[in-house]
Amino acid sequence: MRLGKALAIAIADFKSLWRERVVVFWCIVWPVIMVILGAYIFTPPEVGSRVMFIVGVANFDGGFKNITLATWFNTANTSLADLLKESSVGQLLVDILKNMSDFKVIEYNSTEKLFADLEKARLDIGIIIPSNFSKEIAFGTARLCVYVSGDDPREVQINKGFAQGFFYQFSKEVAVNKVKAIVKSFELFGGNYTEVFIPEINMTVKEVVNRSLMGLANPVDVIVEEKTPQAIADRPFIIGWYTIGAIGMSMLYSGLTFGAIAVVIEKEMGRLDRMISAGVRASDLFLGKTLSAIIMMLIASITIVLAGLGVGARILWSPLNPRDWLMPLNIFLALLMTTSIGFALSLTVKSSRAASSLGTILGLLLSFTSGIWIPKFMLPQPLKVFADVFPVTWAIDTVRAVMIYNEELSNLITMQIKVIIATAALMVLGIVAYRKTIAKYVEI
Amino acid sequence: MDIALSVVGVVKRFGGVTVLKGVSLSVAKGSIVSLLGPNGSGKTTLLRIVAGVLRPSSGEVVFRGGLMSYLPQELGLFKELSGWDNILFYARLYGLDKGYVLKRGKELLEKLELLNYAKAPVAKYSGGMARKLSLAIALLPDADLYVLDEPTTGLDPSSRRSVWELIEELKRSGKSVLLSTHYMEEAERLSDYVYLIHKGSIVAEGTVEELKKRYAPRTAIELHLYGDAKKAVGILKERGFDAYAYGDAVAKVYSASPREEVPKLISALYESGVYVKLLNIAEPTLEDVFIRLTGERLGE
Repeated sequence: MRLGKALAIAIADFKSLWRERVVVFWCIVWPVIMVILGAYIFTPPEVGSRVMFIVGVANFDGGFKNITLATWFNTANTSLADLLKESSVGQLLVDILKNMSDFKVIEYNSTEKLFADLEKARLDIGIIIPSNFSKEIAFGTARLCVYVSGDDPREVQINKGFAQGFFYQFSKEVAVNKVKAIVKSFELFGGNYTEVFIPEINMTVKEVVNRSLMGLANPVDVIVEEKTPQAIADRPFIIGWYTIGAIGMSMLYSGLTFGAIAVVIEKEMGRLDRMISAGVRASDLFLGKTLSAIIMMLIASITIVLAGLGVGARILWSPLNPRDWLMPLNIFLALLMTTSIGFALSLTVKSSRAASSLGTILGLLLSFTSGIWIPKFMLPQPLKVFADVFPVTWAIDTVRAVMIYNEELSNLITMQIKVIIATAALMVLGIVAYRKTIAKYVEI
Repeated sequence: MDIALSVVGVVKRFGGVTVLKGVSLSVAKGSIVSLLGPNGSGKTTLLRIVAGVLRPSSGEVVFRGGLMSYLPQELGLFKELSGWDNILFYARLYGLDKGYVLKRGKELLEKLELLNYAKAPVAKYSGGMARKLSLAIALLPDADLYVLDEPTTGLDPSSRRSVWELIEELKRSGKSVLLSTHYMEEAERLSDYVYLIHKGSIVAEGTVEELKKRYAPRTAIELHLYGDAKKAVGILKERGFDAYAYGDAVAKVYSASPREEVPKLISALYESGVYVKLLNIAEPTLEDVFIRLTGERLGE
C-alpha cells in the first residue's frame, strides 16, 4: 500500500517532468549535444591519427667536393675519384624530409615567400638551407635555419618540439657520417699503419680510432618511445570518456534540480495538501520523487550512451561480466547522492523557479569543476583537489574505470566502498534536510 | 444525532498571529455544514486542520469515520497531465479499485461537463474547468466526510448549480459534508447547519432559518448613496434606525415596517445633505445576518 502511493507519485511526477521541455532539454538534449560536441569539436576526427607536418624548404646549398660528403653517399669499395665527386647535403636533407611519412614538403626558391607562408601559419616548419651548408658540414659546424609556426601557441610548441627532435637526430646522423669519413680518410691515407694490431686491447689501430670517434659522435644512445594511455590517445575512447561525462552532467542537473524542487513545487501547485490528506507520508513523497528521478536518469543514460555510440564512442559493457554491473550501480548511487544534495538545497529556496535555477546553475558548475566533464589533469590545482574529494566524481570515475579503462574488479573495490559510504552519508543529510523542508511548509 | 466530525476549541497561531481563536464545530452524519465567512476569516486554515494537513496549536479534531476526502482551495493538479491522468493519480493515492474509478470518474466528469476534455492536458483547461476537475477528484473516493474548501469559487452560475446538485447527491447518499464558502446563496441552498466565522472566531451558528430569525428578523433596506455611507449611518442611528455601513457608499437598514420607515429615513438623509441614488428592499439573507453581527459584508 505504501509502495503503491510512492509509485503513484513516481509515475505522475515522471510523466509531468517528461512533458516539461526544459527538463527534457537539460536532462537529455543538452548532454547529447555535449557528446556530439565532444566527438566533433573537442575530439576532432584527426585526434589519434598520425600528425602531418607541413614543411617548407628553401635550399640554397651549392654542394661541395669532399670525402666527408662522399662517404655519406658511397659507403664502400669506391675509388678516390668517385669519393671526391661533388655532393649536396642540402639536397640530401630535402630528400630525407620528402621521404618521411609525417612530412608534406613544399620547396621554395625565395626566403621571403617561405617567411610569408610561415607568418600566415600555412607552414608548420620552415627550413632555410644556406649556400655553403655542405662545405660547412665537411669542415666545421654547419648552420641551418629552422622556423616554426602554428595556429595557436600550443600548436607552435608541438611543432617546435617536433622540429627539435628531428634535427637532433639529423645532427647525430651527420656526426656519425663525419666519423665514418675520418675513418675512411685514415684508411685511404694511413696505409699499413691502420692495420697494426695492438694485442693489449685485441684491436687494430683502425678499430681503436673508429670506436673512439663513434663514441664521440653518439655518446649516449637514448631511446624515447611514446607510451600514451590508450583512453587518451584513441578517439573512440576519448568520446567514450565524454559520454560518461555527459551522463554525469545529466545526473548532476537532474539530481540537484529534482531534489531542490521536490517539495516546493508540490506546495506551489497545491498538491501537497491533497497528498497529505490522502495519507501520503513524507517517506512516500521522498521515495516517489527519487524513483521518478531514477526513471528519468535511466532514459537519459540510455539515450546518452546510444548517442555516444552513434558518434563513435568505444564503450565496454557486458551483462555477463559481474564487474560491469558496477556501472548501473554507480549511476544509481551518483543519482542518490545528487538528489540528496538537491534535498539539502531545498532548504535554501522559496520557490520552484529559484530551485530550478539553483539546480541548473550548480549542476553545470559542478560538471565543469569536478572532473566530470573536464578531465582532472586539465583542471587548476584547487579544482583538482575538489575533484578528488567530490564523491559524485568517485562514482563517475568508477563507471569510467569499468566502461572505458576496463579496470580489474579487484582494483575497484576500495573506491566502490568509498562511493557507498559517501552515498549513505549524503542520503542521511538529504533526508534530514527534506524533512525540514516539508516541516517548513506543512506541519505533519 | 451521530456526529461525524467534532472540532473542539481549535487555536492556530502562525508566528505571533492567532488565526483561529478557539473554534468549535461539529458535523452530523449525513448533513451538510457550511462555514460561512469572508476571505481571511480563517476558513481555509480550519479546513486544513480538519484535513490533517496542519496541526492545531491547541484544541482537537475528532473524526469518527473511515475515509475523509479533501478539496483544497488550490487546484492541486498536474498541469502537464491530462484530466484523466490526474484522476488516476489521486485514485492510486486513495487505493481505489480500477473498476470503481472508471465508473465514478466518468460519471463525475460527465456531470461536470468535462468528459470530452478528459484526455486533454490540464494546462489547456480554463480556470473553471480546472476547478471542476479538482472537485471531481475530491468527490471521487467513496468517503464518509467530504471537506470542501470553497468548491464553487471561480465557476459560472450554471457550473455552480451542477456542483450544488452533486453535493446534494452526496447528502442523499448519507455522506457528510463540511464546506467553506463566502457565497451566502450557496450556504442558504446547501446547508443543514451554518457556522459564521469572522476573524478566526465563530460568531454565530444554527440553521439558516434560525440564524435569520435570531439575527436578521426584519426587512433589509439597501441604500446606495451619493456620499459617505458612514456619515449616513451616523445620521440614521441618531434617528433610531438599525443601520450599518459597508463599502464607501452603501448602507443597510433593517426595519420591521419598511412601508412607514423608508420615507422617514430618506427625509432624514436628505435634510443632512446625503442623497439616495438607489434603494432596494428585500427579505434578509445570511449576509444580512453577517452584517448585523460583524458590520462587514461576506464578499462577492
